[in-house]
Amino acid sequence: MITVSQVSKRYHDRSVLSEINLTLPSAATHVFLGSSGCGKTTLLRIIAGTLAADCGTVMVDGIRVVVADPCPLATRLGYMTQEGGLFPHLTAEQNVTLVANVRGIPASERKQRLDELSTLVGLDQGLLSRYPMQLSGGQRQRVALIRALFQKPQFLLLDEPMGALDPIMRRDVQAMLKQVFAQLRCTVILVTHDIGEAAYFGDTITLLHDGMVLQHGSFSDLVHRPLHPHVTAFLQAQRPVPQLGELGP
Amino acid sequence: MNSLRHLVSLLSLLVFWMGTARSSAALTDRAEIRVASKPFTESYILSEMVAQIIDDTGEARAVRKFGLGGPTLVVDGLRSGELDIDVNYTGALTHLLLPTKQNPSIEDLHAELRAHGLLLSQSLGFNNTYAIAVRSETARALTLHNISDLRGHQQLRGAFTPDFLNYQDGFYKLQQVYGVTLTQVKPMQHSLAYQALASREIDLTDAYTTDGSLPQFDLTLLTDDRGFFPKYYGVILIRDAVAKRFPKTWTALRKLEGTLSDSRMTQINAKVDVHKQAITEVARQFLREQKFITASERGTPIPGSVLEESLWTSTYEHLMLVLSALLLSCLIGIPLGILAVQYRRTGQLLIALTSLLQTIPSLALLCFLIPILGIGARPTIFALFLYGLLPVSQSTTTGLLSLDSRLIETARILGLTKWQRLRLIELPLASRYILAGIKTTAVINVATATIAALIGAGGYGRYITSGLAMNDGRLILKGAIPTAAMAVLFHFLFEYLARWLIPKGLQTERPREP
Repeated sequence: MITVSQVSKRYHDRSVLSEINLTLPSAATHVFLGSSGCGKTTLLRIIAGTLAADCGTVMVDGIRVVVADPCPLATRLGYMTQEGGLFPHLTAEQNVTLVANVRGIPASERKQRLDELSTLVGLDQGLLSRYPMQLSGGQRQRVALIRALFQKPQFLLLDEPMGALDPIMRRDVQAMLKQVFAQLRCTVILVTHDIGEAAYFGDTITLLHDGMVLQHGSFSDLVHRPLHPHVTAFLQAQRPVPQLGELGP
Repeated sequence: MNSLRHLVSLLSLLVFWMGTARSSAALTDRAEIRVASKPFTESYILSEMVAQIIDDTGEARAVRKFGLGGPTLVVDGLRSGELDIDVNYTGALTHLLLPTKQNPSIEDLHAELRAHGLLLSQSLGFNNTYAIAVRSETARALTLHNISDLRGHQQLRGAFTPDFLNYQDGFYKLQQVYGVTLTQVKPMQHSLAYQALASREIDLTDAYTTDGSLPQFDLTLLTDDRGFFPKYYGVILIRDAVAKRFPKTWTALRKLEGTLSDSRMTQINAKVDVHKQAITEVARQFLREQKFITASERGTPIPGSVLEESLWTSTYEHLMLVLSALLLSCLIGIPLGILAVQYRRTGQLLIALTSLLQTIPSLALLCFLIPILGIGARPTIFALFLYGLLPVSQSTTTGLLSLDSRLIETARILGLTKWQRLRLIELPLASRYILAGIKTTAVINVATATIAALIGAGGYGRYITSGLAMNDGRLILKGAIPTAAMAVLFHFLFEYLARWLIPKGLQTERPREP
């Protein structure tokens, strides 16, 4: 379980997060939803322990997160960003096994894990020798997911992982992720600005606006029991797909 | 990081190999006398004569440290024991060692030199002092015979060697003494000033009374009718200890005293300057005529002078200077660039300091370094190393700062430590920038290393310095063309290295569609 209490963060004189309080139960998918600049990525970094909050605490399974180098939660965290955040100078396989190599995990174990995860995310193993530039967006996301899952993390932090994908690929990757989350039963925090995505993944959704939590609850809570006029405004802001008939000949 | 490690090991291997090549050559040493010369014809010839007499006497082997820049450098070299012997001028030595003394006598000079452990021969005969030269047609048109005739002709354009402009007994004192004022005066190297005079860019310059190239320019030397210029008698300057250790050599050398009159010296200079005879030959011819050396035509070959040093030796020396300095710049500059990213303030301060170093003219920097590092390759390598710090550290910093911060964040969350991130992620990603900085440094080093000749480190610069000093275009090209070629070679070498060293994933320009 992740508990965020009274967390605030300022950059210069701009408040990015103010007095955030959240409880995120284990083995569920939590979505941080909001438009860009609302503070959702900052909150994710504070939870990961790579950024210090000005005040307030984050507890992960009862242990307080402190910012340190290397990242203290690293062995328990999987992380994935927009476009995957793969290192361009390493092949897909080197990207995936980088940390296992540094930690001295035996080759046979690495190979076995690679096989398992390639099957899990549906990646052709022949692609592993390629550099990120030689892969499509969807393939890169699959490689990034393998990397995030390689150390069998308890927590998976995903920062707009599908932001740069075209609609068809995004659909594929979304379906794959949903399936993987269901299979692994780990705690996932997913940051997005896409309402459909939030609804698709989120066991809970936290809607952030200007550094504050407007509402925390299920998608249906947000739709049917909005706590703030902004909640409804945000949910209705995305243009619905018009019916084909409405477009005319 | 792998790539950088490769580069460093490659460079150190090269330098090591060159180092061993050099030291094995030095194993055959016997007693040596290091003979200095300054970069102008007369100095080359006289020092070559000294070197040949030393070799002929057989007590020791002459090592030629020719073409050293500036009077201070040679005298400092003698005082510190880096050099053993030199042919110098009484006026120059007095100016240098007794700058504040009123009307110093030759005895005062002897006493001062003894205090520094140096010994002076009697005059070799000639007085190579300053003179004022004008085109003969100008002299006729304005009826100029004496320097005092210049009064009232302040429109004449003058160009003088920097030495002459700065010496106390130089140009400004001359203007006072003669009551002459020129409105247009600028500093110019000697050989360039003659050309400028011939092509009417300027009207008068300072000349030397025994200058061999005077006849070919049709110049008139104005008479020093007020006895303004001090005497510049040629003398041999030797370290006392060397004279004592090799008494036969010193006796043999002193046979040169009084044998070279003004006209004789001018003639000998002209053989090199005008008739382009080899310095070694000109010196040997004179010594044979005077029976100062005994070596027969077929006897032990006299080693060639520094100017006839083979192109291979010069290439080797040049390459050695460039590579050692480059290696040092990388070893210090890359960590400095990394520090500058980690500790912004301190790092920026350090990088600002390295930029400051860039503004020091190379010759001035060498002069600062000589008291600490002596003369030869060491101060040159150190100077080149200092110049290389800025491009290497700056490119490292730029490269590291240009990285996508999300990638670094990812590496951090993945659990890599600061050092692991630097080694596995940041440096390889920045390698393109770093390598570009190293390439720039290498190319600049090739060009800057030509100044090495001025402090006795050899390289291609020896041809350029001597060529400039003796107004010999072919000699200049003999240094300039290989320098340019080496710079171009380094450029292509680094293009090739980049392909090999920069991680492949960063080189694929176009993503392959799956």
